[in-house]
This record gives sequence, structure tokens and C-alpha cells, in this order.
Amino acid sequence: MGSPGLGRLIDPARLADLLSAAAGSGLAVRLVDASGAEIAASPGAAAVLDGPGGAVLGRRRIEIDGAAIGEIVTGAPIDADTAVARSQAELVGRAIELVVEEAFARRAIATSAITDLRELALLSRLTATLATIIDPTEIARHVLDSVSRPLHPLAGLVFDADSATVLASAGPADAVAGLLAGAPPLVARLRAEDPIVGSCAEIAPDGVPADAGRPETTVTAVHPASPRIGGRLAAILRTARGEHGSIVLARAAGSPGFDEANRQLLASVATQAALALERGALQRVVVERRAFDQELAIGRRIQISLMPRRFPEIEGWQIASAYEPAREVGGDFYDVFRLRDRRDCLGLVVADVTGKGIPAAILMADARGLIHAAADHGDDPAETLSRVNRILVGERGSGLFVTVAHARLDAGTGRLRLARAGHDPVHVLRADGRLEILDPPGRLIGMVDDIGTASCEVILDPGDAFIAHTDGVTDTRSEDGAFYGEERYRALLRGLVGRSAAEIVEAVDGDVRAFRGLAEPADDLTLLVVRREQGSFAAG
Amino acid sequence: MDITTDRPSPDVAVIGLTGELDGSNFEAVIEAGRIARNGGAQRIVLDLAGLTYMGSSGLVAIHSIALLLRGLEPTSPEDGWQAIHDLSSAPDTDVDAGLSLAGLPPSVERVLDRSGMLELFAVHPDRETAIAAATA
Repeated sequence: MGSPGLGRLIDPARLADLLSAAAGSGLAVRLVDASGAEIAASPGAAAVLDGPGGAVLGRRRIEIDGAAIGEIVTGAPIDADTAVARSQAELVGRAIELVVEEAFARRAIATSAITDLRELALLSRLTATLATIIDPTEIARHVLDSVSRPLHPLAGLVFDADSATVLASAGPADAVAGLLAGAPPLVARLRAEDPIVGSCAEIAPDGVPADAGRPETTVTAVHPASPRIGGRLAAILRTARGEHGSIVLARAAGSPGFDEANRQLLASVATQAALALERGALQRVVVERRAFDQELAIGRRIQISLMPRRFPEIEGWQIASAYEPAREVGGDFYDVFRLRDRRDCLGLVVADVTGKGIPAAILMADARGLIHAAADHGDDPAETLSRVNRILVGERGSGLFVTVAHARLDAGTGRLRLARAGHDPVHVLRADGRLEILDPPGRLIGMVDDIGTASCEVILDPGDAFIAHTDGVTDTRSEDGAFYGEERYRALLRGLVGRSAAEIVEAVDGDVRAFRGLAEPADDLTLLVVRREQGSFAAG
Repeated sequence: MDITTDRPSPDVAVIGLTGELDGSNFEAVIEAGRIARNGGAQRIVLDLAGLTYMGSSGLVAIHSIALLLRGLEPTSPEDGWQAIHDLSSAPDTDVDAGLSLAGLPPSVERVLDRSGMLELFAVHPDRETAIAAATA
């Protein structure tokens, strides 16, 4: 607060009342400003205070915020009883002092209203600026810029939430270094002391709080490391949802420390900054997420386009499938196709590409095309998969793998040859209720030159079903994290004797969904069932 | 999943995994392998005794560490288009280059067995046996 115009501050009517009351008691009172000039006096005061017939009894300095702004001089005629006169003078002096203090308090409120307006303007500018920024460093820089004028610090720092990384700093290098050295204990203390949103404290240069009326900010702190650093002011950047950093300011040594108004301003700025940092962090996640989702979506579109739209119709055979994509991970695909030169033969494929997004989708498209081509040119699924692997490993090394179960089914005879490359075993549910597990050897495709596959062979008789799945079925998890597992899967299959291909698919899909409950599917899930109809032989 | 790395001797590192190894954390395992390799490890023991689950991403992690030990840079399935265009040097049948596996829980062993990877690496019943073999 600057030098006050004492005369203009005080309510003249109240002052006149006091002064005339003093005169009625035989006292002389004069109020002077800091320069000694008279502001007001009781009637006849000059004669008593300045003339030979009176004596000065007391001088009371009026101080506001430690600065002398004036003086109250009291006196009485020489013949007055001095003990009574002194106590009366004391009372009158105290009364006038109260009037002055009251006047100053009103002025302070008026000033703070003006400060509030400035603060509002500053905050609305800051909010508008920060609204478009998502980079935390840039947010921090704007925050330091915005407080530099109203708070005129020598140096300032903004830390991120771990208090270890400086997002932005301002001021001379040695002052910043000094502030940096002293900041962590200050921030730690502030954080421990005041769990309220956007909290703030101020610290005097000698480690004594500038505002003695706030005992909770008492600090026996580390003296700032730089001799250039005076009073410090710090705030935690906090929102209702968490802490996003802290800001520490310092004034130059020798200049006045921060005051309560400064503290409040920084608290408001801190809240804005915390909100901006929080929003920025969220927005960054959204932006990254969007790019990630876009790639996933493209990968998904490619993947879906590779799935058969309808199955070839083969007399005496039922084909059914289920495919359920997981939100993120998952690169399942399946296929059912007629072989080019053997229209009575079907190629069956169930596969799982490790990875996700576009690379996985491309590998999938590659693998699908290669399996088609290789299957058209050979009659052994093991040889087909080996050939596909050699091409993928030798020519397209992508760092991705694919597990495949591939079968060649002769629809006329029911002869099925199966090869497996790192894939889960395939099941055959016999018409009599036996469940056979087909588990021929073979490593996953894409890792090594020789996958060591060998085909196995079974005959599917009427009522028998070929059931291939991906590990999305067995690795399905319930809400409490339990795995669906192979045992439950096999037990379920054993109970599905006599059911059509579509019914088997429906039963497995339903059981897996029931088991999963509200849990998120973690991986793609694929099921392919090819069943020889019961009646197809009964007639013959 | 927790990852710990021990160095029983200057050229051997033991990377211990506890919890569930899946698509969300397999890259951290590759990173642990990379750090061990850059720290001078010629042989790495992957102690999987603490795993309660391993998905197919675990296979990628194991294969990648084997490539790192051979001085090759594995391509990441997360690299986007780049992974398709950057042809890493072709893997070959000799994947086992100083990588051994220890303490396989049955579920993990099944995943490795299914994929055909089990026979590509030295497998030891426990960490101690694996370290003894690696330091021999």
C-alpha cells in the first residue's frame, strides 16, 4: 500500500465528534500526517499544545503495516490534574487510532476489490490462453508469464507432479538455480500441510512466514541457496482429481516479501494451471488414442474383409462359425474355400496373428492368400503351411507370428487331413460322443525356417464334427479373472453330441459369454465347426 | 507383472517374471532383455516360475530376446507400417543363442509347447540349474 492520504481517509464527522468530546474534557488533541502537517485538531488545541499555558501529555504514532502514517498529539492545560488528563488523553488517542485503522481497513477492502478485478482479468486471459494448449511445458511457460507482472518475482519455476522435472523456469540463471535448490522441501512441506485444492503459502526470506496470522505456514525452512533470493511463494497445482505440479516464485533479496493478496492471486492461478495441465494430459491421451484407434480400425476393416461372407454349399455338410473381435488386441481369421482343381475338397483355416492393427492385418492377408495358393497346388496341409512359412520368413520378415490350424477335407469321403502350426489342438466330436484331440506337431509360422509340421488324418463319418477354435475361447476370463480353460471347453463339447454345426457354435459362444459376464473380451475369439450330416449316409 | 533382473556373473543375466505376461507388458520384458544385453550379458536365463499366465505375446518377447542376444534388432509388432517394410534379417532355426528358460509353470509350458518353441530353447527345471548351466 502506498503513502495514504490520511486526511481523506478518515470520516470527518466522526473525527469532529471525538475532537469536540476531548475538548469538553479539557484535552487538546491534534492529528498530524507523516510529514507533521496538521489534519485536524480539537477547538483551542493550538493554545494548549503550542502556548506556555499547556503541556504535551502524549504522542501516539499511527502505524499501518509497520509504516508510520501520522501522529496523535494530546495535551492539557498546566493546571489540569495530570494523572486524570493522561488517562483521558490515552483513551482519546486510542479512539482516534481506531477510527484511522477502520478507515484503512475500508480502503484495503476497496483496494482488494480492484485487485480482484485485475485478478479476474488476468485469470480470464490465462484461461483463454491455456484452453488451446496441451503441451505441459507450454502451459507452464504461460503460467509464469501471466504472474510475472502482478507478482513481479525475480525468478519462478513450475514443476510437474513428481516435483523432479522442471516444466518451465523464468529469471536469472543463478536465482533459478537457488530457487531450484530450495524448492523441493518447500513444496513437500506445502503438500503435506495443506491438502486443499490449489493451496498456497508464502515464506519470508529468513524462513519466517511473512504473515504471522497463518501459523500453519510456519517453516523452519532451508534458507534459499542463492543470496539473491528473498521472499518465496509457492503453490501446489491441484484439482479435485489429483496433483499436476507445483509453482514456486521468489522475489529479489531486499525487496518486500509476498503478501496475502499475492498468495490469493497465486492460488487462483494455480487452480487454473492445474486444470489446464489436467485437461492437456487428457487431450494428449485422446490424440494418441485417436491415432491408435484409427490404425486399429483400418486393421479391423482389412481383417473383416478377409473373412468369408458365406460358406460354400456342400451337399451333406454343415458349416458354421463365430467370430468375436476384442476391442484392441486380436488378429484372428478363418476361411473355408473350395480347392481349385478339386471342387469336392474344402480348405479349412483357423488362424491367429500375434499383434494388432495394420501390420497384423497385412500379415493376415498375406498368410490367407499364401495358404489358398499353396493349398491349390498340393494335397498335404503340412506341406502347405511349411511353404507359407518359408515365404513369410524368407521374404516378408515382419516380426509377427501366426498360428494356424489348416485342414483339407474331402467332402466325398469324409477324409480330413490336418496340419497345425503353433495353434491350439483341433477337436473332433464323434457321433458316439467321443471327443478326439488332434494335435499334430508344428511350430508357429514366421519365426524359424523349418516349422516341423506333419499332417494327421481322420475320417469324418456322419454325425461327426470338426471343431477348430482360437485361444480367445480358452483364454476368456471371467469378471474375477478366472480362465475359461480347456477342461470346461471340452466338457461342454462332449455334451453337444447330435447337435448341428450351428447349434454347437451357438452353445460354445453362449457358454463363453456367460462365463465372461461383464468382463471385456481380451482377445479375438473364433470358432469354426464343420459337421457331416447324420442323414447323409442313412439314406444310402 | 513384475520383472527382476539378477546378474549372477558378468556375462549372465537372470530375468525373473512374476504375474501375467500378455499384450500389455511383453515389451517391458524385451526391454529388460535389451538392458541386460547392453549391460554385457551374453547369456540370459528367463525365470518364468512366477508366471500365472502367458499369452502369445510372451512368445514374441522370448523370440525378441533371443534375437537381441544374437545382435539382431527385433521388429516390434507395434511399429505400424514400418514393421512390414523394415525387413529384419531372416530368423533361422538356430534361435537358441544363449537364451534359456527356467521354471516353466504347466500353463506356460503348454503355450510354448503348442507354438513349437519349447524345443528351440534350453529348458531347466529351476533358476539354479539354469544359472549353473549358463555359467558352466
